[in-house]
Amino acid sequence: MKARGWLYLIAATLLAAPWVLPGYALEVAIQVLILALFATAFNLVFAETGLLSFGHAAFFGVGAYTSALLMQRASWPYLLTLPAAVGTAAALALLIGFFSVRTSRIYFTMLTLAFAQLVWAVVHKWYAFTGGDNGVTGLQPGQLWSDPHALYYLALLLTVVTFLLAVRLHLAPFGYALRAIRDNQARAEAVGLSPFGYLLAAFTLSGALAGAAGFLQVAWQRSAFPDFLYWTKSAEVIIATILGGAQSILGPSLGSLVFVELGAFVQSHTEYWPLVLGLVLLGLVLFLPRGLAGLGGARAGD
Amino acid sequence: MDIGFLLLQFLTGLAYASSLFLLAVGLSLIFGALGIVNFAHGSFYMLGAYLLYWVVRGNPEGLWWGMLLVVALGLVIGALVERLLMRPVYGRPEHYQILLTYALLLVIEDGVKLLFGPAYKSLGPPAALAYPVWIAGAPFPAYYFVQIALALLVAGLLWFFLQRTRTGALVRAATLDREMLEALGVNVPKLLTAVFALGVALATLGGAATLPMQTVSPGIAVEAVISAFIVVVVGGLGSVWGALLGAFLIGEIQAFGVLILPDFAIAFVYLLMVVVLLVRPWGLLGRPPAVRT
Amino acid sequence: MKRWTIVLALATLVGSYALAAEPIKIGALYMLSGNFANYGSASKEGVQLAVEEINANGGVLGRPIEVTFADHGSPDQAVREAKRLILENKVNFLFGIDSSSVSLAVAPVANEYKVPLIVTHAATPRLTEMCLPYVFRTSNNARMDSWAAAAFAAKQPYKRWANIGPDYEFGRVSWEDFITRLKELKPDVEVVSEQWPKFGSSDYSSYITALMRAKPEAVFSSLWGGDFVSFGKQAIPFGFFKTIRFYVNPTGGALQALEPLGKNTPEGMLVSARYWFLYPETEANKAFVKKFHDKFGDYPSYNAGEAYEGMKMLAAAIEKAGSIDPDAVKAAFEAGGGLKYQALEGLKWMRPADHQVFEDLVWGYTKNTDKYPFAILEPIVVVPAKDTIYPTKCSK
Repeated sequence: MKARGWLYLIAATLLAAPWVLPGYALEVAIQVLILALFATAFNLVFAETGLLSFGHAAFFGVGAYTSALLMQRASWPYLLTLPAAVGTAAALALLIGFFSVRTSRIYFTMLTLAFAQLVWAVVHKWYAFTGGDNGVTGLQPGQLWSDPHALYYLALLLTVVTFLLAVRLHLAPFGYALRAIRDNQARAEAVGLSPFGYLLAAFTLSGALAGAAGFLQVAWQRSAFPDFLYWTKSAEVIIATILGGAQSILGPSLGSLVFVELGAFVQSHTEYWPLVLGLVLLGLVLFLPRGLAGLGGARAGD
Repeated sequence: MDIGFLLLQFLTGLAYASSLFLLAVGLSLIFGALGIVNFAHGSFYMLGAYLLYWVVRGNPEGLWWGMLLVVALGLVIGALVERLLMRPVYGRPEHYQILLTYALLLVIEDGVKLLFGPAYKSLGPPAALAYPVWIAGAPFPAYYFVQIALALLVAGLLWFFLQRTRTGALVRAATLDREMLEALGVNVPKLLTAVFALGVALATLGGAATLPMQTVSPGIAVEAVISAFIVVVVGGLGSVWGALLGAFLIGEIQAFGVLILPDFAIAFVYLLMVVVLLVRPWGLLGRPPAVRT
Repeated sequence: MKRWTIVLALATLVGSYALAAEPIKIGALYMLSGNFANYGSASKEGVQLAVEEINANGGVLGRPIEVTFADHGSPDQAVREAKRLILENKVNFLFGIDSSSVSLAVAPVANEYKVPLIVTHAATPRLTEMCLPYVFRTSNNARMDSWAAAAFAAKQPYKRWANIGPDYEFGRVSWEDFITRLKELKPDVEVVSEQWPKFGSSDYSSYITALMRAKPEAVFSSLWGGDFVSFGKQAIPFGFFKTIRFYVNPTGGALQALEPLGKNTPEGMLVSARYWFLYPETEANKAFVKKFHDKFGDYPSYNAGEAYEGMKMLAAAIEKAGSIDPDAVKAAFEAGGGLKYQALEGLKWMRPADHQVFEDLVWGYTKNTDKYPFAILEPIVVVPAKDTIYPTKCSK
């Protein structure tokens, strides 16, 4: 009952937030949700399979561009671009995953980084289609979704769905299979699990959901830029996840909250945000290896 | 196309390749022995350029002793970073090491900005090398020969060190089986400190060596580390010779790609990377990874 | 008390009256971190000096100006910071912006909130082609520079032209605008080579030799910042500047690039500066340069000058409007055929249709002298505004 009480409190806080938070805080809250969705998606691969993708920005970015281009070029209503954004991100993840998941850990990291940089280069150069470094600007997601209140609830809905999906997968046989592969691939194969199929499925799902985060970002920002796909964006989601604690199911969300709020706070005071973030990360790695979630000893996922 | 011009273009490719090799070889060396992907490698490269600028006080004639001093400083910085920061994360999953080196990247970027300011720093070549050498009737910057010679010297010394010295043999052994070395009574921690320091020193040397023909600012680290990654992904992570081959291929592909399709000169390099990734994901001279256990 | 919120009104001696009034709030976004922080910090200094002077003279409409600076970083950070300035700081105006892509991201957002945005540096022609009612640019854009370069080029006897530019929007559009305009003015020119090194490249040697092989008589380049420095250092020992008869490079007159090049700067390059600290030789300009140098220890770069003038021009528009109401300020910029403001370097005219300022453009040939540790522009050549007035699709 105590856990349930907390749950109600969190739910009530999340639902009431738009009516309590002043304008700018609400805008930042939407950014928190978008990163939380992105990080939870990223962690589907990271926590369950132990594979560190340094290319998730590509899926975020492709989702964002799909949504942005369909709105601008084909005048699709914003909400209808969601399935398309998720679909293209999934297709790209399937393609990149096909070549990457078979390799060992560090190669997987490097390969996903290399592929994502390739996609970035294409988006950055293909002026006729993506607008190149001019981005896609002046997007109009419609009256409803231009209102931060509505966008907040949409972001909340998608984040919660992703979160529940992550919990569900973790507890399902699929999750057990992934962790079996993570912990001992040879043994997993011996009992008849096909690592390739499982890893590819997890990677594709993770990429698809990252695309949904990109979809939300374009409505918030009213534009899409190649920066979405640059490798430093991939670093952000990794940092947020590990900051919160990858082994805890709430870790990525907690990490996103701290990452976005801290970033917004520090950047409003000084341009030395990289220095602050770097020092925070050093402290995290050296003194808090299990992330913020490790502080309370919470291991909700396990 | 006349031979003379092709030679000239080959040399420009070689000059670029030599700077890429100096930039990337330390990254590969560190990965080989320590299994660490050092995201701060480009930052040490940048730091090398700043340190050179700082020690010679804007005097181009100080280049030679300046570079020696930068290498020495690079060794010290590398050893300190390894001892104080890297050592605690050995044996932990890779992502802690990646996060740690990424943190270093951020700190160094703002650190040099605080120390040296945001302005571009530049240093001309020494007067004796400021003039062109004539190659097949066309001028070619004399300093590039220094850069090419330096890259070849480093490659040669590394070959000698790795193949002909006991410590080098231990470094090679460390890439294969660190526990076995430990069991044999080798002081592995000391060895790892030495390799990390050497890798960092090579990066600072690379940054210093290119300053006479380039410029340095706090943001170049992010670009540099990506260039280094491309080189080692093509050549093979952990392979010193792979870094040499990767740098050579990328330098020459750019030099001749510019002639064939100038509009897409950059795309050729990415194309090479894609082909290598698809055919040999572990790189041209890398070792195929063992199955995860 | 926020560190970067500089209440410059406190420095006022004359404006005790102004102090009592509610300040006019302006949020200034510049590139203060990352690879171009040297540009952003110069812009910021220009704004600081302008605001200090305005407040010392009693402010605008009797109210002091209060500027909050923010680092715009990448487009997503910039949009968030713009929203912070609008929603939290409740600024009346947004101001500044160094990067073109950031300007394209922020402009529609500012416009949506109906907070006028005054751009002082970002130079993509697209910004003022969006025809946004509350977006203004008080400095010239890349197309005007290209047209000015074409006006020079057309007067030269050279027919074989080549390009080297950074491979991104700015480089591509600069060349496209230049060569299209040049062919209009002088139909018999021929393009013998186009080279597109990556933006932020460190090595230009292959591009330089490939370009020289095509034996162009004249070269147009849009390299800038660190790219310009590296290119210049590498091109000299290749004998590039000895074989090329005419070299023209918009924005090459930036102190950010000329200072690090020092005495290694190739002489005789025709470069533009938007604002050049030694031009014109008026008392007003000399006083500004001295004041700037005394305060910041450096000469005002072109974008510092433009930021300074942009703030003064905004103040003039507010004064003319008699209020800070966005529509009133917009009307003040547009009324009477467009606001004309006498800047240090000449007359700035705001075209009412697209809110783009036109002005005489300052160019010059690089020359090393004993007076400065870096190359200066000598002689200076000025392109009259009328040679750069391109048509617009926007309508008022």
